[in-house]
Amino acid sequence: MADLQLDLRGLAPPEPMERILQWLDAASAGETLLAHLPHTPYPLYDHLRLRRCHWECAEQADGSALLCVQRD
Amino acid sequence: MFQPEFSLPVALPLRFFRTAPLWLALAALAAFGLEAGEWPQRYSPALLAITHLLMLGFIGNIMVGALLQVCAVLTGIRAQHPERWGWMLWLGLQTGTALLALGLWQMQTHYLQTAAVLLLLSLGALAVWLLTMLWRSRQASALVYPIAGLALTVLSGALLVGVLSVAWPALPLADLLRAHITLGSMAWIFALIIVVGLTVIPMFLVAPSWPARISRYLPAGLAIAVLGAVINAQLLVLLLMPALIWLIALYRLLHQSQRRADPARYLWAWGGFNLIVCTALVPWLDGLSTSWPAQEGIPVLLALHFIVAGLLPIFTAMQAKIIPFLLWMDYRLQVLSGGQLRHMGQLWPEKHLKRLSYLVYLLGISLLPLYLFAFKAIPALIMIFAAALSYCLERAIVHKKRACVS
Repeated sequence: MADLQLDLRGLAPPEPMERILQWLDAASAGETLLAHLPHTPYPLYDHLRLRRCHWECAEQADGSALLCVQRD
Repeated sequence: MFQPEFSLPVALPLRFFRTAPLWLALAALAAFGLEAGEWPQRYSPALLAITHLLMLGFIGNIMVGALLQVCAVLTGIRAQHPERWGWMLWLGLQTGTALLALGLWQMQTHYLQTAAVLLLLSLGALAVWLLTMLWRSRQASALVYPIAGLALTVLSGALLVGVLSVAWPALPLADLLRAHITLGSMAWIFALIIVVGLTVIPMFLVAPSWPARISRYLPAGLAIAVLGAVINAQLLVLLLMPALIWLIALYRLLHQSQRRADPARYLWAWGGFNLIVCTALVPWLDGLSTSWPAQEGIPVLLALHFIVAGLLPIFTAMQAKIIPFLLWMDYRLQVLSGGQLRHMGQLWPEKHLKRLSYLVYLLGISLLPLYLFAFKAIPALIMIFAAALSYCLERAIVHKKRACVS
């Protein structure tokens, strides 16, 4: 179960990414975020690589994506 | 699992985007110098040169910039030394465009042949490399169709240069010319607009994804229609079917967009409508030419409408979203958290896009009366647009640089 769940589908770029990165910068080790995004967030991956975290992304049938990020 | 990376240096696509308005201004300047009698002659050296300044210099630069970016984001395709190859590609495209325009204007075969070689080595090689990389990554991507369209456009252009300069290969000039125009406008440009639209419209206009059938079958359907039209001019009417399907799907998507007041939404709608108008009129071009007082001017007017009322609005909408987004992404890589830039509107304000869009609408709506009664106003307005577009772009880059150092 994620510590925080965010539905970011109604936001225009780069707002969804900003929200995720802001959460990540403030999160403690072990905390998890589950974000529902309008599309697979390929541009976000480079930014996640720069931070201490690991993530998984699952594309949904409607084209949206569920991104699970855990702070290391 | 294969995970694409967004790791294309931002300077690479930006270089192409920044160069495009300069070619547009140059084409407008060249057109401004023409006399009234020269405008309707579609195959005059001057008009052929101006056409290629627009199609290769302006449109080509924007499309290549967009193609590189979309390939990087959607498929993870990367060169080992992107900056070096990017520079070479950029240089090949600019030099090839300049030599081609000069060769056509002065009808100098040496310039034409050198341009053909340069464009084959730059754009042709890019297309072959991208197709190879896509095949190796084993991804079913709609990008295959516009890239193949680019390869065939460059090849048919090189064959045209061969036929014109050394009468080799022995191909019928009229058929080859029709194939080149159809491939360039539909298989390359329109196909890439469709594929880029699959990503940027849902993403930036906060709309649902395109229907799965459209994403899967429309680019292939368009490719089949284009091949039919290339083989037989009677089949040009086939192009209307995929174009109409795309327009209906586009309108539905724009209707569901959550950004109701975004100027980009109306630019896509206006551009899409005009692209269909052009696609619908092309098959009847010969008939129209004979029942119109300014007979020979019809094809030129239609080509102008395709570029000014069809492509210009869509390119404006694309650039106003893609460029600030790329700059913001690059900014976030340098300033990991906080900082001055909080949203893309700081880089490319919506009021600037609104003003640009008014200029685009003015150009599109007034095209016919201006063409008939004040033709020099068209290049004058295009020059103003090129300057405005360049200003928005450079302003965004300067803003981002300032935000990085503050």
